[in-house]
Amino acid sequence: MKCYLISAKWCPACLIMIQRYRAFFAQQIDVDITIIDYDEEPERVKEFAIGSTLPVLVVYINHQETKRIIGEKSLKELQRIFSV
Amino acid sequence: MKCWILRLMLVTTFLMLVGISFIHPVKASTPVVVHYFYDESCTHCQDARVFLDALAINEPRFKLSTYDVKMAENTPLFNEVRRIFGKRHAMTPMIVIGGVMLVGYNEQTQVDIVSLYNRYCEGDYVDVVQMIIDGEYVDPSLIESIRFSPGDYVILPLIGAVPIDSLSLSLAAVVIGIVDGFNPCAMWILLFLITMLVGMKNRVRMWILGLTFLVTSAIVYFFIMFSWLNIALYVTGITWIRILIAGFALVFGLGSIYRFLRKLKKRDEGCDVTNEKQRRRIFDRVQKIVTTQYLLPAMVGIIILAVSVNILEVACSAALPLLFTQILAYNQLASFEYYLYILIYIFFFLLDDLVVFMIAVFTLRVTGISTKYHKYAQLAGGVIMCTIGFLLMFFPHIIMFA
Repeated sequence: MKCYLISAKWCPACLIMIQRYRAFFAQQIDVDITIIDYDEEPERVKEFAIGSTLPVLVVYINHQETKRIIGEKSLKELQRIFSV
Repeated sequence: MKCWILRLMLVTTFLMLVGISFIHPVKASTPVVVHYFYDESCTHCQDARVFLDALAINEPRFKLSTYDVKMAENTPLFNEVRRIFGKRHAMTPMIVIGGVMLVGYNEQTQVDIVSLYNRYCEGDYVDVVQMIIDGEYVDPSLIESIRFSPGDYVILPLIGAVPIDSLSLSLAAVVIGIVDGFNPCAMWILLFLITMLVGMKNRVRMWILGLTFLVTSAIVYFFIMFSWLNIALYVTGITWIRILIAGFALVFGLGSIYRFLRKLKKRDEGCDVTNEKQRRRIFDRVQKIVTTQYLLPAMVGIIILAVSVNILEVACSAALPLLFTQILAYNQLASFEYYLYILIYIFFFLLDDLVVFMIAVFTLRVTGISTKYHKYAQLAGGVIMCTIGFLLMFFPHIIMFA
């Protein structure tokens, strides 16, 4: 599973979610997270066509986008989203 | 119906208070001089005059001395009395009885005048205004307080007895300051700055530059609030301005509550991407400042940045500090008390920034404050604004904690 996390240094929700995603995926060996900075890599961000809310986690399985998680989520919410 | 009953009860209570107060026996026959400073154009002064004249007729020892503050001959005395009592900004109607100054006029002032009159009829009495007129030295111990009931004080651990009115103002400063602090307007730049500093892994530089940013922000905020306070002090007596400010508070408050309700419906809560151009410009500046080799130019850069960002962002979070200065203005405090309450407000306003900064310095990890707290702070801000707006419009005397 490949995940792209689009976040920004000025965004409190992004700072919280970076740590939360790391903790959440820590036990899963086949997850690779790449963090893309909204301000430093604008061209790359454009490719994901995100809206106006940060952070955004885009999940790929076998090169296919399977999930898109927008904004701040609790651990419980993440468990529910990924159990589906 | 209920309203009439309430009014009847209020009037009855007041008449009983007045009645009971005047039953006390008179011990001496010297008059109690009530010094009344007024302005012909002030409507509260006219109401106060009617009340004072009635007392002067009915009470043999009640002597009224009046001073029109617009008359040049009374101006030096008006200024000197305000200076001695430590209330340089006090306006008319201003009543001084013995060593107590009463500013403004409402039902509470009536009760206070009667209570003071009785107090001085029965006990020791020093006419401070007469001493000022006679050019005598006024010892600060002669300046008294209107409070004479032990219930007007609360005993706080370590601090001791604190007047309940100053406690109310302190509490207002703490609560409004914290709620204002959760406003994310100025937080984003601090987060960006901290992230850049954490990346450099130099704690000393982090301490110096981070604290420079926070202290400069506090100073800028202080001057902004101080200017608003000075304006507020000159307009508190004008009814239409009070109603206008109350109207703005209600509109902004309802706007905040509406935005909170909209966010409740929103499924994905996070940071909204806005003002991209302005943000990029500021980020370039921060990057330049943080990577400057020498500390002094970096500090100067941070100071300039903090000043400009805080001035730019003040429009985003102006409502709460504006209303707080309005509350202070209504309370007619001594100059140092105004500064003190503004400083308390600013400390609590910056508290969340300080916490985020400290965590970053000690752990070298940047963390944010959850959007849910910002969301509920928006609701709290809205409720506070509506409450102050409502009180300012219909019951301004409640805002006057003192």
